[in-house]
Amino acid sequence: MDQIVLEHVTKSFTTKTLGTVVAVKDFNLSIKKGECFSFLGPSGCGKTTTLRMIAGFEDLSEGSIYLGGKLVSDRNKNIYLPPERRELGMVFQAFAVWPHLNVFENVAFPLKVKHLPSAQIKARVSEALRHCNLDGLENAFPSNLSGGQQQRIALARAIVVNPDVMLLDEPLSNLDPHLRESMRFEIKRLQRQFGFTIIFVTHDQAEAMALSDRMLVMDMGSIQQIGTPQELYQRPVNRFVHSFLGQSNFTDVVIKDSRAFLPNDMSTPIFDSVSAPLQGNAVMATRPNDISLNRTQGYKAKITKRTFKTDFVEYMVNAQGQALVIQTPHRNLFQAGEDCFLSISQPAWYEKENSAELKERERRNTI
Amino acid sequence: MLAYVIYKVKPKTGGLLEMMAVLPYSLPGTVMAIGCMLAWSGAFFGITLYNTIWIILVAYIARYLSYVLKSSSAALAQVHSSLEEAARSCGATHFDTLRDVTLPLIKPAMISGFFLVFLPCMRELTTSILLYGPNSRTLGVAIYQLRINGQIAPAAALSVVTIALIIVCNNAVKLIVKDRRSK
Repeated sequence: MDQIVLEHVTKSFTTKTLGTVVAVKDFNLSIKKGECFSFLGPSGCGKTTTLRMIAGFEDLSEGSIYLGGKLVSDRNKNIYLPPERRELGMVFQAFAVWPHLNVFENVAFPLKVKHLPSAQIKARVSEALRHCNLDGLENAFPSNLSGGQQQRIALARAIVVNPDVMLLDEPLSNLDPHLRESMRFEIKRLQRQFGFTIIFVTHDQAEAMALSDRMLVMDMGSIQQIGTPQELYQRPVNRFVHSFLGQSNFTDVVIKDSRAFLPNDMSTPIFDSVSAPLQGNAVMATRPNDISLNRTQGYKAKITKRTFKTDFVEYMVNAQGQALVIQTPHRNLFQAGEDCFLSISQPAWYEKENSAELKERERRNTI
Repeated sequence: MLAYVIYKVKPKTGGLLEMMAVLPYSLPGTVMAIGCMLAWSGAFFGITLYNTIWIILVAYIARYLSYVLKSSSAALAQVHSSLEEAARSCGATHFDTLRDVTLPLIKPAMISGFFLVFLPCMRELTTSILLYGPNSRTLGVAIYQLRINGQIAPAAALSVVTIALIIVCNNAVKLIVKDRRSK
């Protein structure tokens, strides 16, 4: 069953300086029950706005949202269920634990609002605290606890009502890297235990890849691609998705009869079996670890820089004036200034980005 | 309450509302007093407050509203909106959120705001001297009259009492604010 359905959801703002900005454009999505789904995108892409519309903190400009089969937001039918009646669990980036209440009172709040008997509140709160490894801290105040503990209070507060849907708005970005990892596992573990559906908003690709069953990449208010983390990494549909997941090289090429040439050298192709139906100017996208270096065959280039990273060596290579980053294992070292040959595997091919797209991106960056 | 409306609800006329609340503060006390006399001597709804203690209260509220407004709006600005949104997502209505989250969080500021107003009210003279009646003499007026009548000693005594009261209140404010913080 589809737990969350968004149909043609659009949100636009009007500001004095920029005029009308479409924050979210024709957003269509359905999320299955028990799925862990991530919204990934750079800041300002509209992912948080979308989440806030699902939660009910923002109204829509157009479209409709269904939660568990029930219509909760629809501008045209004038339906708008306030956030407190949507029965969601939500965790915020800034923790949002109440400093004037202790841990127990914080977690008990959603139950108190429902006027449950106090014995039941006590039992459920202590269970939620146990699941979030907070037992023994009932009487502590949040200001005396660490960031990780505060975020676990927020998690406990969200799971204590046993919600069907959890909305997590960059819950890990205020934590240090080590803690992030362990919180990630904790969220996953809680999901397995309680079976809730998760929407996880993040700008950290590693987080999204590690946590989600499916995810989407958003940019400038529209969905770029929806799929499993593997699909998105291996078959990005456009240049933006390619650059957002993992490291990328983008090389300008000219494609002629399924062979790709660098613009300065039409004699030898850099890649000779282009699968995409493109002709003329295009972009070749490669991952740094999908290019291998050798001394005998391939496309001739020059090493400009060598950097030792922990588990691999990173080379900067100049091929007819275009720079490429290549990561290889530690054997067979090249020197800076040495000639080398490149062989490329599994490149992706895209059309050149048009200038209108670049302009829109620039405009949004000023917001 | 007014601060909440201006800074959280953000109505279109918020700027005007704020200006109106702050304006009386910049007026001379006597102007305020005469204004109050004219307004509350039966001109509106036939309500006559002149010569009662209530007209002084009204004048004080008008004059010192800006203090409270500023101190509680500063506190409201400190309350991150996600704290309120978290409450909403937990199932609390707007009213529940205001009562259980927002108000307790700005309570220290509201208490200190109250004393901030209470202290100058105690020594207020310019407004009260025009508004006081036989049964509603304020401390400032009382001291002034004793002094006018040449009763220097009782005037001095009352002044000492006033000063003592102010010092005590001042420390009480500090104590309350500090208590909250250490928690």
